[in-house]
Amino acid sequence: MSTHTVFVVDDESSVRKSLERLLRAAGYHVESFASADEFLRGEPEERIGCLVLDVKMPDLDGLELQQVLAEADRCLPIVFITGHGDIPTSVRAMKAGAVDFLAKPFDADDLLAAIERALEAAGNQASKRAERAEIERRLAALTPREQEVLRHVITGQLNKQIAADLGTSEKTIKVHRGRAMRKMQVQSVAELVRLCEKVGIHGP
Amino acid sequence: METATAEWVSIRPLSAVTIRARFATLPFALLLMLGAVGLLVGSSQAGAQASSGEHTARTVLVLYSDNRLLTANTVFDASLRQTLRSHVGEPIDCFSEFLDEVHFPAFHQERMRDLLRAKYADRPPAAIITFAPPSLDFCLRYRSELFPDAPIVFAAVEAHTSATGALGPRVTGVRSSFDGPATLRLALRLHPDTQHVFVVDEPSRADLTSRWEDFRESESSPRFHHLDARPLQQLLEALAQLPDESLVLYLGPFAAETGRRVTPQEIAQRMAAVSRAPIYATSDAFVGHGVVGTVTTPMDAIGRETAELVGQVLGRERVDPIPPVRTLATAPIFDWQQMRRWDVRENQLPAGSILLFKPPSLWQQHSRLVLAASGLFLLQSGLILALVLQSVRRRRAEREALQRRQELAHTTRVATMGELTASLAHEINQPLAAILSNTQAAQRLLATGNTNGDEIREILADIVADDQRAGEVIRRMRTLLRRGESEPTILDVNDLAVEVVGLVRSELILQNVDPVLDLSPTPLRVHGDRVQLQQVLLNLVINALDAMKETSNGDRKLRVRTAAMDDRLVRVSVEDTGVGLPADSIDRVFERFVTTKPHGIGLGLAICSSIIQAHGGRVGAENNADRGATFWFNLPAVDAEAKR
Repeated sequence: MSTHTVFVVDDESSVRKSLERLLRAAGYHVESFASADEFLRGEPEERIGCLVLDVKMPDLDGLELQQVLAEADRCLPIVFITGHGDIPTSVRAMKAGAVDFLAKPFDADDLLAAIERALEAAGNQASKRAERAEIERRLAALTPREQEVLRHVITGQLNKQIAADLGTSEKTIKVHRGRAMRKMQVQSVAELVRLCEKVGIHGP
Repeated sequence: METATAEWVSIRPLSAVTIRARFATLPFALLLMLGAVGLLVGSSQAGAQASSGEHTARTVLVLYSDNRLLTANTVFDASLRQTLRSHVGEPIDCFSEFLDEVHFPAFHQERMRDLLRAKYADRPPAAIITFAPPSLDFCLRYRSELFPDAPIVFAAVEAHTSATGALGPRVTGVRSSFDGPATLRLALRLHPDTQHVFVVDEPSRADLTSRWEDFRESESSPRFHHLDARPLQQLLEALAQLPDESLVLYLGPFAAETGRRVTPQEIAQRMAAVSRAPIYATSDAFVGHGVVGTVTTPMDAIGRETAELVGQVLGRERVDPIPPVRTLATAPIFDWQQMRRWDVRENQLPAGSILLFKPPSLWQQHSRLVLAASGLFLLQSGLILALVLQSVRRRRAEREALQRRQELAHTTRVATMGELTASLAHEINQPLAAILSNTQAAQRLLATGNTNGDEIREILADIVADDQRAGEVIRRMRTLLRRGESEPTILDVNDLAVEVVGLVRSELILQNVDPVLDLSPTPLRVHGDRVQLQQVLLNLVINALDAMKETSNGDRKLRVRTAAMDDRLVRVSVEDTGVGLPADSIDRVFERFVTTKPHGIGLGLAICSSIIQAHGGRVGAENNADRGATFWFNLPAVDAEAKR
């Protein structure tokens, strides 16, 4: 079992308590909150995990929290649970990226399966994010001129063409290109292109 | 010797004095007197004739053989006078004289003759009536000296007496029978087991009993015994000791017992009182005085026939020949009361029997009264029935109205609960979810063995609590969904508020409404139907929620307040921050079919109003100063009622 954290947000204490028990018994690390506000306040660090979220709560409800998190680009897959599920609400939740939408009372197996999927998604997202961060870090090491050259390189231009575009000598471009390739830790232009796609860097 | 008595045969008109005397005590005497005056005026001519007829009214002399106490005499006399009144078309002075021949020596009869001749010299009788053979003999003996011109009409002379040849001219009469043999024959037929017949008669006529012994009808004829009629005490003792299967034939005395002045009827009555056997007689004079029956010519018939004959005689005074002697038939005469005593049934009597003293049926006696009473009874019964039916119908209508009201209340409750479906499902699903999760957590813990008893115990306790919570929700729901009336009880409106808000708790969450319970610190007790009052409060709360649909999320506030108005009234109010009421419908929201909701039918508040009114309270609504509306209801406080 992973050591990822499952966050439970439900205003109903008995439900919260039972879920904590169940999830701990299933081997998860669980943190629970009585309201969306409490969750937002109590979760400063960005840990990898998923959210088991009640739809209807006083003040900020589940769907609203989902929106807040999305806006904050917080990567936290959500499993919704609800005492009275209606179709419009579930559709809205799923469209906004929820992993699952479970009506209370739900079977533990269903919940745990959903959580597994959510954590898997969370793991994927986390590794992607880590990869992206590494690329960004490498990119950050490039000088502005090297970055400029890099954008031209990934479009498949030859050194001569780049030199013409940038109004400099072919030789200079070759030096910048070599440094950029080294700093980006790639051996081939194809590899560089893949990395740049991952962080959304396109040609000029 | 008996004093001669004279009575007016009242053919003459009654004098005004008589009428006044007779009716003086009556309240309408005046009216009658007026009528009498009219009568006198109308018949003044007849009156004048009557007053002159005081001299012309003819005299009829009735000569009895015995004294005045003899029953036969009185019955005959009454019948005779009545028939004379109705049959003779002229005024008649009818006088009675009594020879009493058995009690006085024979020479006394000459004195009697002289007395009568002197007494009636001024007004000689137009006819002489004799009763029984001795007076007829008397008249015939002194015929030439005692009013020889007056025709003689005899009565009570036995039919078998054959001395008609010796009667002479201007003598006629009525022959009748005391039919002893027929009486005895009939008595034996009615009492077929009779072994002994006791003949009661004057001691002097004991030898006559042998005559009865000759009486034979069959081989099984009874034995005959003579019983002396005197002394009376001895006779009564004998009668009280008669053997079974006996019969008494009473032949006399017909005359009153001298000295003690006991009439023959009294003797018969005293005999019947003690006798162990039925008594039959040969005269109808005793029927009605203890004697079962007789076969004889009825005495009143003799009186009637005699009177008719007298009428004929007087009518043809100057014309011979005198009407012939009449012979009257006999008839069995019975006393119904005595027949019952001796178990003689009516259908055993021969045809043509005269049955006396049979009590007339109520119908015979009072047919009009019975008719009127029956009619009245029927009318009254009908009236009572109608009233009862009306009352039954009214009660049924009331019951139906109440039932309809309850059904309507129930229907709206169901509708209200329908609106709360999501909320209620939520309320039940929460504990169910907790139970399931807890259970499955426990299963996992037990499966892995990675637990201790404490944790399991905790889990089980939580499961129990959640289960109870779900059960409570269902119980409240069922209470509200139940049909009909629940028992009125004393309840605290604070509890009522808590229960209702608890029921809609999820709804409040779903609709982002912030509830505030502003409850009185002291219990506010009212007397009422918990379900109905819950329904009212629930209805007001749901209306408040509906009114706040347009209100922005943070501003949706619901305040349920309970307070004592004074020591007599309790108020429960529901305050919202919704759209408020349109000014023109504030006064009408509690009327039927008035609604401010787009999809409302306008019954909820009307039912609330009728429920609160049935509890002796009042409902009301008003807009708040800032925003929204407040609905409230007042109920009489129970403590205040207790003080009264």
